[in-house]
Amino acid sequence: MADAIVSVEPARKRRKSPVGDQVRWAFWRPMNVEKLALLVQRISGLALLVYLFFHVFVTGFVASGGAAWTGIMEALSNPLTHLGEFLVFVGVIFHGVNGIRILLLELSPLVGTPARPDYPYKAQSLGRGQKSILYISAVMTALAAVSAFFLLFW
Amino acid sequence: MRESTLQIVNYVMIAVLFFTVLLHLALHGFFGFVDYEGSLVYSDVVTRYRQTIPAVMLTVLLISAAFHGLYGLRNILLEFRSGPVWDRTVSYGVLVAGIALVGWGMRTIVLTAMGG
Amino acid sequence: MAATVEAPGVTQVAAKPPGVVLLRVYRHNPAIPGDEAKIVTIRVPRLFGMTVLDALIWAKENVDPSLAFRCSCRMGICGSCGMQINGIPKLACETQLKELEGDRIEVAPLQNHPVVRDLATDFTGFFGKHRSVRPHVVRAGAEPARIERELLQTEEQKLAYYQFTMCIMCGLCNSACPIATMDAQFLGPQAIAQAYRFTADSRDQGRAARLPVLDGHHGAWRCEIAGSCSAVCPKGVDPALGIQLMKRTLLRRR
Repeated sequence: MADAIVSVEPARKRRKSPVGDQVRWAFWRPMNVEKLALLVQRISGLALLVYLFFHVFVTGFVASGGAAWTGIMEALSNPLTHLGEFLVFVGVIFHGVNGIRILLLELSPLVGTPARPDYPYKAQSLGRGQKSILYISAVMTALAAVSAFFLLFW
Repeated sequence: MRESTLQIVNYVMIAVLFFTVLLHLALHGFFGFVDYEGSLVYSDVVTRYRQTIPAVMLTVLLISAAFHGLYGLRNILLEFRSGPVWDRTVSYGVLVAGIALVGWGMRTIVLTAMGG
Repeated sequence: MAATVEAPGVTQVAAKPPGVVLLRVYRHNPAIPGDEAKIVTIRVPRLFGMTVLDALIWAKENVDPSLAFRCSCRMGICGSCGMQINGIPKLACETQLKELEGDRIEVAPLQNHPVVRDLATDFTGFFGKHRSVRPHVVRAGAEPARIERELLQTEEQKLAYYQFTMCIMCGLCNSACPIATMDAQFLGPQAIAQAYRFTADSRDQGRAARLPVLDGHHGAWRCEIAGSCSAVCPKGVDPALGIQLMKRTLLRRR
């Protein structure tokens, strides 16, 4: 019954690229909130690592005397740097609180205990306990953003 | 070295890092107890480096942050390619970066603490 | 016309009126040189109670006999008909058309598995990873083990690993896992959960034998609890739970 074939079109080719692969999975279904949390955790972790190198380099100027220190502090006293510090603070708070959630899932009974699976299957590892910690981390991140805004920009 | 050994070290570093980072942010005014601008004045910064407890805290913060951050980077990089050569390259590359980072930070702390 | 069936304690979704669905099927035969992957849209009559597998079988019987897919039990126990349905790894036999939104259904082969043809994927790597964790009761001493008496187990001991025995090796979890997507060497949720199934079994003495694979660079520790595996598992195995329990077991071996 060839008339039941409505159309034939080429399938989209997926190009493999290191950065693309790292991000693409986050937008594949199933879209569960824990997977998005993993994406944000990775991005914040990498950003904080880059900042750490930058921060250790900048604070190295204190060993070169008062003039060098004051110079670099003045050079870095601009809205762009303050935006960077704002993002660092927000990133630290999310990364830390979500990290606690991951720690509890790996080491404590928060992840669940094996039981007889009966229909409808509810995965214990995706339970309400760990989801509420994730929402708490989102709320704390928002609070951190507000307080950092007032500290750095107001 | 087994992964679980590295993971246990990571757990310890996480515990240490959590408290030292919060303390560090608090001492620089992010939680409102201290003035942000004031904490960056040269004389205050140097005084802190010359006191034992703050200097030790900064050292501990540096080591735990470097380990945790670079361990995470190593885990992400391990996903890109297969094979023992890549695994070894990434692990040792990250170790070298960590030694360099901690070395530079320790240089700062030691020189400032000992400088006149 | 909406038809609902009343049954105590069961919520029914009103059946959609008979009509058609547009089944958009991924077609590709890598064995033919130069064959390009395409999406073929087929108009399939919607019948009451139809599953995606029913729709595929209708298409194969009435439109194109060359359409290739795997199926067997059609009741969610053999694990053969795993495929991406509207982007989510699901069993085609357990996916009712009425639970899918809209009238266009995208059917594609499972991600992270090489395509053999159309919707059938290669499970060699998947089975290889499963075998690498020695998924059988391992006894101390030479193999095959000499068992002279029954190995007794209490109900509590059985419950410690029972849910992980429900795995039908359908491959949906490995498809959904983001780490398995990025890291081809990662064992995957199925293998690690099955490793836990045996490690937690009181009759098993093979924890040390499984350590090199599980505690290696691409073993259980690469899991970062995205939870997608448990979100798609059709049998309630909850592989994410199994993996975290496996991690704790690996720590406890000290």
